[in-house]
Amino acid sequence: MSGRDMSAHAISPGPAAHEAPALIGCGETGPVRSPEAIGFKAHNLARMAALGLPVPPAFVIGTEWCARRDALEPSMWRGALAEVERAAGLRFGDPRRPLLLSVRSGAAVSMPGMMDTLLNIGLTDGTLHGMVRLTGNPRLAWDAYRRLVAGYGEIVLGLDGEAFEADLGAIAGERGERELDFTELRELTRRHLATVERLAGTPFPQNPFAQLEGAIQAVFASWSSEKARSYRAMRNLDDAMGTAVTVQKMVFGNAGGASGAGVGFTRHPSSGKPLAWVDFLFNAQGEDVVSGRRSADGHDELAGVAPKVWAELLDAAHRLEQAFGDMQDFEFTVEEGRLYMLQTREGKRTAQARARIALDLLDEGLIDRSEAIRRTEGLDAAALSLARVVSDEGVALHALANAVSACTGVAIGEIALDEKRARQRREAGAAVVLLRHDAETRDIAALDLAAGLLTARGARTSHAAVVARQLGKVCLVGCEALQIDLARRTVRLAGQDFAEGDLLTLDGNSGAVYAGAARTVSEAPPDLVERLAALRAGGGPG
Amino acid sequence: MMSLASQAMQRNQPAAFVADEARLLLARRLMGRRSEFELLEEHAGICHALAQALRDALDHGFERDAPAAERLAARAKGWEHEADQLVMQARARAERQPQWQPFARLIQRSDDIADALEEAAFVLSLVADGHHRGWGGEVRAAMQALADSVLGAMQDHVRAVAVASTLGETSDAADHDEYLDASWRVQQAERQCDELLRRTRRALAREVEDAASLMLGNELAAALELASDSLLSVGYVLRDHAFRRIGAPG
Repeated sequence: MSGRDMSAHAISPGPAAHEAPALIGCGETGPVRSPEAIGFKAHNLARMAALGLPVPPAFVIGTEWCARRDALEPSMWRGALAEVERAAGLRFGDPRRPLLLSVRSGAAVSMPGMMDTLLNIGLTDGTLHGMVRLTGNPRLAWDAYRRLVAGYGEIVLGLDGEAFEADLGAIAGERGERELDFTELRELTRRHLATVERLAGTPFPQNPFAQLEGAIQAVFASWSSEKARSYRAMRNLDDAMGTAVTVQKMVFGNAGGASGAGVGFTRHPSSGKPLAWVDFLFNAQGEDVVSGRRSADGHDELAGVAPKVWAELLDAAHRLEQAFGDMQDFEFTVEEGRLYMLQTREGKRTAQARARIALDLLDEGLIDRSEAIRRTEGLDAAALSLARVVSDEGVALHALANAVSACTGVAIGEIALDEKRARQRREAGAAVVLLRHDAETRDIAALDLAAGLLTARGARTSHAAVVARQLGKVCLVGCEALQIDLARRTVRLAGQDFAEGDLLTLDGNSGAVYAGAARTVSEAPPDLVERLAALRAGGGPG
Repeated sequence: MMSLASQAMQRNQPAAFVADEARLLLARRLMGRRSEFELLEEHAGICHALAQALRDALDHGFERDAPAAERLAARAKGWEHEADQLVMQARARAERQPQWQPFARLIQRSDDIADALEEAAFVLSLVADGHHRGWGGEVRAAMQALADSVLGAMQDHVRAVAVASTLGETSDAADHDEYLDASWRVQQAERQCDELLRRTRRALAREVEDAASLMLGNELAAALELASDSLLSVGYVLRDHAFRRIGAPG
């Protein structure tokens, strides 16, 4: 029982249907197109819409176009765009009621954060005033515009993101970007526009359709990016699959203190405990949480400030598990107290979580015994063993710093600050831990060489943390005490200086960072080993 | 325009040149009308920042977080100062160009909104300074609903100003309807805020026994409600400007 329900939504219209975009949330009927045709992200989005969950309207350009994207004409998707406009009650490029769009990747296999996403497509000097008129929120309009200019500059025009971070630093100083008001965001947008023109030698496109075409092409092109190719090579995935592109009505988590963006797991991805595990940022867009460049909060504040939204989210999470038959990793946005679901997929998890979740789902009657056996295949006491730090007798452990744990276990190794160093030391037989400022997926090759990752910023649900969990790496993010000096190849942790080559211990169980190599012991949870043995011996339901 | 044309003729300039000069003059004149609204939109944007910060502060429990409430009050003071600068700019323009006078009066009146909201932020900082004893669920919910209603009205005012700035010969019935809808919602919000002020006072009387908390709670609610009164009052003056732009003086 896989839980896959193929009924309704994401239409397959008549002749040449394989080439026409699929529609989602536009009142369509018919079977959901396969993940191979429209990618898993869009496939699952359509299934969420079919479940009655709140999904913004969208159209999907299929994976088949990825290899021949040069032949993709706007006429192919204009009709689908009109359907999204109709469903949204807005018009793309309209100076009075402008529709803004997100443009997202999505292949037939999950590749968290390996391809690109563009948000707020459709904002220009000509539609900005319409956005203010539509929302009554000047801050939202300028925040969306500055994000678009920076995102477009980085992803479509290939400019260095540091240039936009520098613009932000010049305006915000020590303050967080969420503290900027509309006049400061307007100034930031103007700086970004000037940065684009200076570095790209061409102005930011003021034609919304040119923006959309550029965004679609860039997302298709991100299938061939270095990090995406590395990831596929690491996972033995077929380069010929290609990605689909989902073009969806924007919803705004950056509309104020009753809005925000979050990422969640229906169960704990490290331990498997049956409790929702959610990161949320108020007044932010989804990329803030998953990009690894911002730290995020847990769900407590969301539950306290917006209990109704939190209850709706828990209900949605339960419905997703029931429909999909497995633990889910979902993305959502809250716009002015209204919940929207933007993505769901099977959650990446540790070996312990894999065992516990399969056993719990069997107990809950969601999967049968044969499926539970299949899902726990290869999990023995050794695979379930987890290292933990122990103190030498009579010597108290002193943590240098604490971070947010995104994946359990213990990693001990020499400090490495980039892929080159990590590779050199690995080839020399040394274990390394990778220290970076941000938790970004572009470091995937370095992460694969390391025993663990420690970052100054980032959330436990950042794409890079998700990948670290999948690779079985210890991952600590959001370590505020960490400062990295790449020029001097040194780091400062809570006032102490370290050089590349010095040993650190990352404790993914507690989030602590220790100087040197701490003593560890490994053990498998006895109750989990017993439950697995009972399952294989024929006990338990099903 | 006549003076420009006669001077050009005296200098024997070609008719096409005079036509271009006339076009530029008209464009400058029209841009002047737009810049009046740009100033008003800027002012409305600042008032929106104040209203949103207050609503968010109450939602996120700043009455129990003295440092956060203090920071908000300081920020609100800064926004109020920026709003004052816009009023002064409008007055200075009105002294140079008499046709700006009605607009300067409109922006001056809009400043009452900023003043009321800044006052609310200041009072909230006093509440947070240990004077929230007795703020139970009912007071908190009523205060949040009031701040939420003020923010809603503020957003509708921003919408109304944005639509009004585009009204003129090229606007159509949909624009007019959009403007009227937004204005109407500001009026409705004022009535709703009246009700919410009473609800808040009832809750304060029921839940709060400490005199300072009672007084400050009442002042906070009254300042929020005053902002909605000011929004209504500004809305009436804005309506006259909007109607004049579409050639239907009220």
